[in-house]
Amino acid sequence: MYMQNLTDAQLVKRYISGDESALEFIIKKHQHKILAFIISKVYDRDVAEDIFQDTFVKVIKTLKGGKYNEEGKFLPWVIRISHNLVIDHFRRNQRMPKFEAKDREFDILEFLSDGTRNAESSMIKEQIHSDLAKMIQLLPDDQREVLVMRLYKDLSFKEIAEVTEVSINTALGRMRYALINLRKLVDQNQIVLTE
Amino acid sequence: MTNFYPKKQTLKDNLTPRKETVHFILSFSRAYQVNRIDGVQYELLLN
Repeated sequence: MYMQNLTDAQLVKRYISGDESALEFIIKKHQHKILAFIISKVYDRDVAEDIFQDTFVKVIKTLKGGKYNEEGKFLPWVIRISHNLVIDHFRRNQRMPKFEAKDREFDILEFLSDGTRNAESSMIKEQIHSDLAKMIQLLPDDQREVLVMRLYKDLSFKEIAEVTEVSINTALGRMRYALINLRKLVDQNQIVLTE
Repeated sequence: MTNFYPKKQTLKDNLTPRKETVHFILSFSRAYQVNRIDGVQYELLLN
């Protein structure tokens, strides 16, 4: 299909001019990154689906209302919308996000593992993930945000910079300090992160 | 050998929104129209 060759800006232009199929293509193109971003914030699959849906309702209203003017920065713009909706969600519920999923339905750290494993290996890996999650939770907010976006959501530093509205150098610096502080925390707490 | 562990879900399985979610978004998009009359913007949700 020739739409695969179109840029985001071209797809958005087609959609605004009335080609509804362009929206479906845009969603398919970016759904993993957007949903990963939301899930990593709310740790609840159902809530994430609702926010994903509300994000695109806002996208549709903005595009059809002729208010979109961020050509070339479509994905960071959509992620910023979802970020604001996540904040709204927590304000409504008046609670802060927890790092680990309550019901273990979705735990992004699980994806770091590979292949089949025996029970002992599985328990050790779970312990490592749990320890690591606790250490990440102790990082300053700005460093934790960059580390989670980079490692668990696979966003580029350019995208992270745009989402968090800082320069690429600042995002890189935060990542560097996040890793330095994480190492210190691991040492201080005498945590073993190898199987 | 019996596999005691359920088949592991892949990243792709978990990070794909449900069909109903995408269906709602696309249906909303088709129904949502914006008209401007005398400089005033009107939002319409068609059946």
